[in-house]
Amino acid sequence: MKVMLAVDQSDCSNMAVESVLKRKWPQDTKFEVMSVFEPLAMTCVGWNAAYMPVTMIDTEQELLKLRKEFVHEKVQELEKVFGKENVTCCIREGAVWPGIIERANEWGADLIVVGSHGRSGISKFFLGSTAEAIAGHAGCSVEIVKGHQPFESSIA
Amino acid sequence: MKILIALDSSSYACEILKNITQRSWSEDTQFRVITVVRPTGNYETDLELGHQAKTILDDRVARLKERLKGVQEIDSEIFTGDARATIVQEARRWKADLIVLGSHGDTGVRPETIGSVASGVVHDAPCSVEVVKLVNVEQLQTA
Repeated sequence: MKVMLAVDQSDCSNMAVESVLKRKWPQDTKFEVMSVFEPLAMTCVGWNAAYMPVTMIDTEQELLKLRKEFVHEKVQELEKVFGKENVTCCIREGAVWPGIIERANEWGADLIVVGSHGRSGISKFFLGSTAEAIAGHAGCSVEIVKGHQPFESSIA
Repeated sequence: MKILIALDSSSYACEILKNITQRSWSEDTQFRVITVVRPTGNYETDLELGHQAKTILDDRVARLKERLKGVQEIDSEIFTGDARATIVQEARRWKADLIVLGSHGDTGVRPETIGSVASGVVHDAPCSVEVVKLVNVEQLQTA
């Protein structure tokens, strides 16, 4: 079985990784931590990448570095539990959900695990657009991880 | 871990169960399999539909029990009502850790989207949701 974890630096991604770590998997399961880095030109400037200020290029590099560190940290957590030979990672640049779907098809994932809302999530009560796009376009099953927190804290 | 499996009476349900039986589950995993029947407004018809759904569900649960040998706790129930609301409500009441359901039911399929029930449950659910992809999008486009 092949399980792909699509992460960004959000809390939901952390929860997604934790839920995978807690569960029991068939013996020869392979894991891949996958992250798509969206260039700032796409998220902030958008209308014309040629006008991107020079200072933003530094910011972008810094963000990409942080993303790589995050992914490697998650890979190490998975390696501790499932063994080095079963965990790989992949970082790409571009639009998020098409990148995730493309990689999932290429690698032949049986399950994609994603957090319910990523970095641009407005509220805990709305599902991220990315998670829904992944669920719609993927050729395999998709698990959308939510914490129990929103529900439990509303009772307390 | 508590896993709520929502099935309809369509043949897609077999795919979902196949998906479940292919994994390994720890022995303390609890499964609850439910089917939600949409009410028609006619009491006798509802009763009949409920009975049919129960027969189908019992058969599927029996097969699931056979294949998941290590797991002790599997129970099932039929509900009548709105699928989205009922599944979410049951997940809350039972404190499920994961809801497993199909991407589409038997009421028609559009490629590259998930069905309204799946989408609604993902939005409202208090826990994680696994959407089992039941339709091969490429196949559908060529058909």
